[in-house]
Amino acid sequence: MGKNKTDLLAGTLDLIVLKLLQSGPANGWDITQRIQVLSQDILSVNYGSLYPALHRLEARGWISSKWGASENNRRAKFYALTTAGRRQLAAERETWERFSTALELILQTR
Amino acid sequence: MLNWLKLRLRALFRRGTMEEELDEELSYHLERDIQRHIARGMSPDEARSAVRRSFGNVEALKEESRDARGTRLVEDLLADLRYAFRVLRRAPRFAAVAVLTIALGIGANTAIFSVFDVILLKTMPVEEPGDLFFLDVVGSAGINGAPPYPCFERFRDDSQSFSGMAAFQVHGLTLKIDGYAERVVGQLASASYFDVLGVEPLLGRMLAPEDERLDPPVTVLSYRYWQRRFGGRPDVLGKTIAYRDHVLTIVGVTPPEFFGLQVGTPIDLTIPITVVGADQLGDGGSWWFDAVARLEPGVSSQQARAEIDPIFQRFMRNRMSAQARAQHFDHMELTPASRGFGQLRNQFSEPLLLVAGIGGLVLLIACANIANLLLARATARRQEFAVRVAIGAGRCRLVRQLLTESLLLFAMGSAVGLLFASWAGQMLVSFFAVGRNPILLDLRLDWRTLLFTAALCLITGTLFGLLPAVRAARVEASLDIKKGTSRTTGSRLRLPAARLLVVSQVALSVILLVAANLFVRTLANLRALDVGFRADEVLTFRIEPLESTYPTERLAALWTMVLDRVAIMNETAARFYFDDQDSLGARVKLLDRVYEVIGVAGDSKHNSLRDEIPTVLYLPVLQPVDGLRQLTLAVRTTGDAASLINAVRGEVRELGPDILVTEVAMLEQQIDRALLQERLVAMLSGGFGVLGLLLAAIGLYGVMSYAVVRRTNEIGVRMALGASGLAVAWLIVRETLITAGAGVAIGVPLSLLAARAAASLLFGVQPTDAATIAVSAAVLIAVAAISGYLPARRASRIDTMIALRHE
Repeated sequence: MGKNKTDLLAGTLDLIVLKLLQSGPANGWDITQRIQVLSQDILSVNYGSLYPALHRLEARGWISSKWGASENNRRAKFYALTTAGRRQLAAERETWERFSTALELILQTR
Repeated sequence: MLNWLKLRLRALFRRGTMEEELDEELSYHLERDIQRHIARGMSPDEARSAVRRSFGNVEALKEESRDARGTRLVEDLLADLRYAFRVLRRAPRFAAVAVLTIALGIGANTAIFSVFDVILLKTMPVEEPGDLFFLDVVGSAGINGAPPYPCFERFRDDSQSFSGMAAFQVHGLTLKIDGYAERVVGQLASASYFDVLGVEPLLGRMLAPEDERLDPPVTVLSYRYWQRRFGGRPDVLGKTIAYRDHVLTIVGVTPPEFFGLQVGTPIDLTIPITVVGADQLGDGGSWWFDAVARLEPGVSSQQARAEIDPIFQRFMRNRMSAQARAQHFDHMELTPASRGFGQLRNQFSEPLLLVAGIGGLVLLIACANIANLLLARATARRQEFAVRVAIGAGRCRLVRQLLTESLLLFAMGSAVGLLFASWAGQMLVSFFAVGRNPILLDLRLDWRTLLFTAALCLITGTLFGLLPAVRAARVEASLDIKKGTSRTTGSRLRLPAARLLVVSQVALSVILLVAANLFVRTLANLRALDVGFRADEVLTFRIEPLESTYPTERLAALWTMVLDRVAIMNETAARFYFDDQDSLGARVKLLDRVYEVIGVAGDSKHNSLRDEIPTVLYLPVLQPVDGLRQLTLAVRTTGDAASLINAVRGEVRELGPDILVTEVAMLEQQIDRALLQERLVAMLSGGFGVLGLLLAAIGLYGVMSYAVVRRTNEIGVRMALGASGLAVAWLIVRETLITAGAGVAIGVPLSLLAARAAASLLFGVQPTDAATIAVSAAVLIAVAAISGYLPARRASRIDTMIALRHE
């Protein structure tokens, strides 16, 4: 594993998962790969936090799951965003943007 | 929301599937990772071990996933329940005794509650019962029925406070169906009756306004009568029934839950009240029916009363003597009708409250036994608890587990108790349904009863399971794993709780025994009263010639008038009117006729055994003072009463057609009926007294046996030092007696208080009767001695050598 990996900030994994599912259903492994690729290998998420997060989001009704065939034709569980999940994504995104703007402002002061 | 629920239900009930899916999901992930490593040039073996390293603790991950499902609490509960079942299966004798004890306690209380509910609590099965009121005429002599019918009509036509009102009257009617005469409980009612109550027809229709014209006359059947008499056939609509000179057409059937407005006297059918005829309807000086009215929304009963009372006062002006008005027709009052007529309620509220209290005491005693059993078991299971604490079970978790176990016990006990209650309930129903005017109670295990039982189960289970559970959770892991059952050291700590429970059991038993004693003696005293007649082997029945066949002119011939006008008075009358002198030959005027007194009869009881004897003038039945329409005969029998009644029916049939023989009963049964309330209380308090005593004895026996086991070691030492078997036995018996003595000492003053509260239900015995209390205390001490004797004998036979090695 690379050396420049950064641990996720607490609470951001939910936002990331919701965002990645916005473009369509995906299984757990796909999500780990996409996080790695999209963050240009800066972020990596391990199984230990991803699956509990997926199940937690499902229990809250933000995503739903369905068994389907994966690209290599094996049975895999696919997760998809629900309507409530879309609303949640918008809300969390706004919260995050406000937070990062605020953080940026603070960091820029001399 | 629906999705959320589905997910959790799936998590609970398809737990296995969920686990498998989680496994499959993770193994898929694992496999893809391995493939990726291979694609980048690793060997399959290298790839596998690399991935396995990065995966880390899979179990912890699974655990976290499970928590994410949010059903942890329920899953734990289910696990606790499974464990509790296993534990109980391993101790079947303990479980059986506990379940049976709880079943008796909860079953008895459920049965009492179902009667209590039907007679005292339940509202009528009608729409918005809280808005219904009876319109009663009140005078100094008490509450009467509705005002005279013409006055009722003025209320109905002139008042604004009510959305509707109806007149009704319930009494026995004689009908002829398909040529056969029979007697039913009939209700004469205004056409508005069902509208006012909000009762919808099950079949056909209810009464309509034009039905009061009796053109044609119609009737509505009750569900019970429809089932009983017509087998529930739907083609009953249109059938006709003869009543007096009317031919009634059946137009509808009321729903099963509707029984009229009088608990205990369900009606069979309803006829428009106008059948009584214009004369009776126009009568302005008597009350003969009742009126029920529904308040207009937003109107209070005081406002309504303020509106109708002036109407009543205007109507009554100059109608009767001032004295009669003050006594019987003084003013109007509104009585809540939500729970129907109050007769049964008034008669039974005090005895039922008392019986419910007694039932509660029995339940407490039973629960104390359970708590004791649980305490003893908790001690026996110390090692198990210690192991659980040592491997990481929190004490809270342990208490929860034990509480689950006791609640499971109580739930099983309650389930058996419900069976017991439905049986006991039927016994109580048949107990009420005796004599000529039986009280017919509609008992059923409805949701109210089930709710009561569930609440009782939950409260008692938590209350009496908590103490043993909390005590059990106070284990020292390091000490108790090694030792298993601890020795004498623990006895000081734990026994006081058990002792305290037994002392309170004995105290409660004293109250029960004193109550049983007092009420059984009350019943015996009433039974021993000189009623003035011999009730045994007397059959009574009523003969009633049908009005349609026997108009008044023919009746006279039937009763064959005798012209002699003679009378006999009882001793009380002779004393009251003649000071016991010269009563023979005196002339008495009664309703314009003069009678000659030819004898004085001994006094006898009439309506009630408790009442003073009234003054009575006996006239021969053949000189009726007013229109005699029916006659009750008393026949002294020598043989089988059942075959006699057939002979009577045969004789009556030969007299002519259409003469009914009704209300057949033995005179003794009538006395039973008159003593219903006292018999109920005596039977239940007696039964509960015995039950409570038995439970307390079991409790004492259990605690003393347990003490002997725990002190085996100590007893062995005593015996090795020279104590005789007798001395050891006395040690145990003495302890039992001290415990029981303490219970009696607490129980006696409590029972004195309780007895004083129930004084009005006693007859011929004082609530502070010293003999009663002495007998009860003596019985308890004797029973305690016996309960202590068995463990004491066991203690005296302990083998010294074995005892000293006893751990």
